[in-house]
Amino acid sequence: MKTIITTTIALLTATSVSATVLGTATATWGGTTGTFSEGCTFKQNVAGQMSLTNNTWTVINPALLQIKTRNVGNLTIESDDKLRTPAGVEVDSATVNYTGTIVTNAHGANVNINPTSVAIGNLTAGNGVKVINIKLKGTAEMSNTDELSSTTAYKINHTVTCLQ
Amino acid sequence: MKFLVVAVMCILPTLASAHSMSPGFETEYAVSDTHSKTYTVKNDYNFPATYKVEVFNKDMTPATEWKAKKYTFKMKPNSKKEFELKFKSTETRKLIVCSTLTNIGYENEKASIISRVCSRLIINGVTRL
Repeated sequence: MKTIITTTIALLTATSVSATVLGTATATWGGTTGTFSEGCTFKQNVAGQMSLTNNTWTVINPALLQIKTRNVGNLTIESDDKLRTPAGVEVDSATVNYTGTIVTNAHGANVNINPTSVAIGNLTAGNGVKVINIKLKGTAEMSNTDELSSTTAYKINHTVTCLQ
Repeated sequence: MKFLVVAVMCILPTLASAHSMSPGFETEYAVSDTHSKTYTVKNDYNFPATYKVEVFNKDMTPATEWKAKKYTFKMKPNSKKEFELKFKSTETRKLIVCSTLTNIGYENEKASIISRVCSRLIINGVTRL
C-alpha cells in the first residue's frame, strides 16, 4: 500500500512538472450576441408564366421565391384553385398540382412537395439564418375551357405562408 | 382544336426585396378583459403594397373577438407600419396573426404570389382572484 501511494505521488509530481515545463495554457474570448430579429422575410417574389394546352395549364417559367428565416417554424404554399383575370375576377376552377416544384437551400428542414401543397417544416433545424429558394412549378387542370376568351391573360394565385 | 395561350400567372412588377412582420411568436398575460398587441409590418418592396390583417385560430379557421382600427393598409415603398390589435382575453387564446399581401405596384394590381407572414400569439386570459 505504501508503495502504491508513493508511486502515485511520484507520477502526479512528474505530470505537474511536465506541464509546467511545456507551458501550455488556454485563453478564451467570450462574447454574447445581441438580439437578432427572428422570423421570416420574403426576399424575392417573382411571378411565373404558364401556358394552356387543351384543358391543362402548365408552368413554363416557374414563380421564384426566396425566403430568409431565422428560427421560425414552417412554410406552406397553397392555391385556392381558381383561375382569375389579372384584375382578380374569378373565371373558373383550375386544380393545381405542385409536382415538379424545386426547393433548395433548405438545410435540414423537412420539404414535402405534395400535389395540393408545398410544406417546409422544421426550419429551426441547425443554427442561424436559412435562405430558402423555391421554384414553384406544376400544372393546373380545368374541367373545360368554356369560360375562357381567346388571347386573354389569366392567373392563378398562390398563398405562401411563413409561420413564425 | 389544340391551341396554346401563354398567360402570365401575374402581370406584375418583379418583386425583389422584402415583406416581414414583427414580433414573432410571443406569449402574453392579459390584465384586463381586452388585450392589446402591436405588430410592425415592413414593406421593403420598391413600390407600394397593400396588406390586410388576418387573425386565425390555431387550426387556421378565422378567429373572432378581435378588432383593429384598420384591416387593410397601403404602404409606401421601403416603409414600415405599426398596427394595434385588440383581443378579447377573458380566457386563454392561441392565435395566429397574419399580414397578407393583397395588392402591389403604383397601379394597385392584385398580387398573385401572395406572401403572408404570420406570428403565433398566446394570450393567457385574465385571472380574477
